[in-house]
Amino acid sequence: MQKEISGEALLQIADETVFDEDVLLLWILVWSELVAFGILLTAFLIMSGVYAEDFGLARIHLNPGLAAANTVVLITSGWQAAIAAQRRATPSKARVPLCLAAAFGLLFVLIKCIEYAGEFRYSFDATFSHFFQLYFLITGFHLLHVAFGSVVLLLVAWRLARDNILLITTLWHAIDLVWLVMFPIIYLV
Amino acid sequence: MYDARFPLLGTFILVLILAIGGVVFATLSDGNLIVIGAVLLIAFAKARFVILDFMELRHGQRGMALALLAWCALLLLAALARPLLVSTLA
Repeated sequence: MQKEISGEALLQIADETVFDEDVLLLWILVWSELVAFGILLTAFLIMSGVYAEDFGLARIHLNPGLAAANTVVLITSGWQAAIAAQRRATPSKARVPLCLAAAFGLLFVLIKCIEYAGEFRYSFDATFSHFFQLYFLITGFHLLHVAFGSVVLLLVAWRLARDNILLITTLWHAIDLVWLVMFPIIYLV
Repeated sequence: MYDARFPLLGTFILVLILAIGGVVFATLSDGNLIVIGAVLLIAFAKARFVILDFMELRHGQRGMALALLAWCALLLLAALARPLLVSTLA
């Protein structure tokens, strides 16, 4: 006996199919970011091997304290984003954590700009040029992602939708993940 | 009840402790390969918690979780290989 499918059920199936396609697009976006950062970080590691002495000297002028503070800020932001994702079944409950995640993201941008202000003058030194070119390229590219992501988090908090919450929070965790790997490579080891 | 008000708090605190621990270890490293290895291992542990708990991949999409963990592991292993190569070539 053939089972009849109601119009509502058909709409739900269609909605889920669109959502699956959105998730696929999301992972393609996430991996395009990870591949780009992977290439940049590999270039940094190779250059730090080739110009080991220059990179060692240039690294002295970085501010790992501010970068460590930014790690705490981004982890806190990621935690709030994860809470928002958990509450996506009831989107109105995700508004506050989304706004908090965006606020911590913007705090990250502010701290990074303060850090840049102290480091920028060293980038004109010929000895440090290889290091600072890559440093500003990699961390600047990441900073743009954080700034853009914060704005999108706020937009999603304004126009709440279950699918959008999952999309932006997953992308936000990918940006978080890049920083967690980038931080020890550039500042610590 | 506690967990409902503060979901994922345990993971958050653990990742924070690891982040602070990694920085403390790094200040003590002074080029010591074992300490560098520990710092990179801590970074991997942080990334693992973000992937499995924050990205909700602990109980589903196992392949995606493994791929993300592999991305982190490859870069951190390359970071560990760099001082080894530099000290070998020097």
